[in-house]
Amino acid sequence: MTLLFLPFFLVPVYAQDLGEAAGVELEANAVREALPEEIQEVGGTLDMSGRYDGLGALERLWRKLLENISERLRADAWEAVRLLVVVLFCSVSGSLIKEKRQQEILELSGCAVVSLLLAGGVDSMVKECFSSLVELNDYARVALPAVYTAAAAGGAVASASVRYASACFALDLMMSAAEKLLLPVISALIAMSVCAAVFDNAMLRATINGAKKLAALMMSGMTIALTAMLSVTGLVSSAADAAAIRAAKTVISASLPIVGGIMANAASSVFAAADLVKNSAGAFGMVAVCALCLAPFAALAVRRFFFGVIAAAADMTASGRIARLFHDMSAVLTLLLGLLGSFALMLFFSVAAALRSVGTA
Amino acid sequence: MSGGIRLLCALSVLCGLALSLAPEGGVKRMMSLCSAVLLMLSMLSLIRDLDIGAYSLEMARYRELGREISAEGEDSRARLQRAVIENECEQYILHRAESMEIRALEASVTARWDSTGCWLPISVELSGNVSEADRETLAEWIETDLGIGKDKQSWREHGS
Repeated sequence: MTLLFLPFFLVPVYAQDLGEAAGVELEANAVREALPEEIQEVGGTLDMSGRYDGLGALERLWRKLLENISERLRADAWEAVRLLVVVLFCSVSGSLIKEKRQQEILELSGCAVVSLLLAGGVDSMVKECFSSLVELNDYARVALPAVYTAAAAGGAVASASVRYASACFALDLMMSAAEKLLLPVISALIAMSVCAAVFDNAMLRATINGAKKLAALMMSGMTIALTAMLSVTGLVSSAADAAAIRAAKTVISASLPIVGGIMANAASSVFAAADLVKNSAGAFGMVAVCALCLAPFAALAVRRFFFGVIAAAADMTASGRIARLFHDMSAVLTLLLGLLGSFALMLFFSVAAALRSVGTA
Repeated sequence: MSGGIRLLCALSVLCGLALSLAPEGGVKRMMSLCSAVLLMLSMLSLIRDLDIGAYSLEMARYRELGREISAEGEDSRARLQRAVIENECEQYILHRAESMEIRALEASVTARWDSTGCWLPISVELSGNVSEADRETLAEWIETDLGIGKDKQSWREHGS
């Protein structure tokens, strides 16, 4: 009897050692190494023994966000002051001029100066948003295979395959839509907004409003549809994975007593180690996605804040052309924020879907 | 798609300009109607070029990517299981040897994938200063408990 039960009292190899070995075998460290150094510092150490410091990472994320915001406030304040001076000058001069024609000329000149000052900045925001999307997409190509491979090694063979395919489809679709439709529409919105400020025309205004609604609808529609798809995908195959794991353990344990016990322990240990790797790499990946979005979010949010303030000041002008221009530019920045947020959310959900794969504990 | 959007943008600006310059009355209303039709046609042209046939090819590519990930995961798990089983068998042998008061024994077990769908220990290489009688007893236990036949057990001189 003692001999039969002896294997169960053997000193295990593993816990941390097996977790580390599984991390190396599954190349989970790629989740950290694919990041720029400053983002790696925000994410912290990737510990495969299941002791990832999530709270510490959240704290570092918050500090980094505050740093980015204060940096952008300092960088953009001077430009905001210049724009505010132009707007206030137009407001004050407009209130002093009595003749309507001269007021219109003043407003047109104000719009032209504001457009010249804004043009480069907003265009660079569009390019920065696109390069952030590319960075997130490149990170997804490294992080998702690592996390989903760990999920498959942890027993979720069928569901990892289906969920990974869905995640790749969702991200590729969003990236394609952003590159070929949404960003061109947003760039077109910038051009049309400047024209509408100068020509003040109902047709142009209707096209601008239509394009804004179309872009917003597309982003929210795609995010909801693809998130629902990721949530539902793999539900049935998860149940099949769980059943397959239980069946395998029973067969191994019953056929060969001592060696069977060793093999069953080994199977459980490897499943558990792979689960640890999956959870550690997945948690780190989610923090990394947030960290990658911090700088572009801060840049867009601070600019949007300044444009909102200047638009409020511009509402004092006579015909409101300059105010509408700033409101349109604010809307453009909101769309860019929405686009980046949608993609980041999709990537976040893709990683979360891997973490929801069946565990073996 | 980009070309279509540029066309839409250019048409919007031109229509806006034309409507600004048009005199009030019937002419402006007619131009407004024509502008609306032109803009609607340019929006419809954006979806004209969508390639539905490529969709099924892309879905097949994604399914293949999913299968590759699963296969990689299963291979990694198999390699880890083999390493763990070999290690546990070695630990078992060393504990057995300790119960016989054999110290400084080294064991290296090799496992092989069996048709029953699991890793089975098939051979072991031992080294240590062990008497013939103890070697024989150990060999019996290894054969009985781990299923490694005596012909698959080898002894290496300690230090070589």
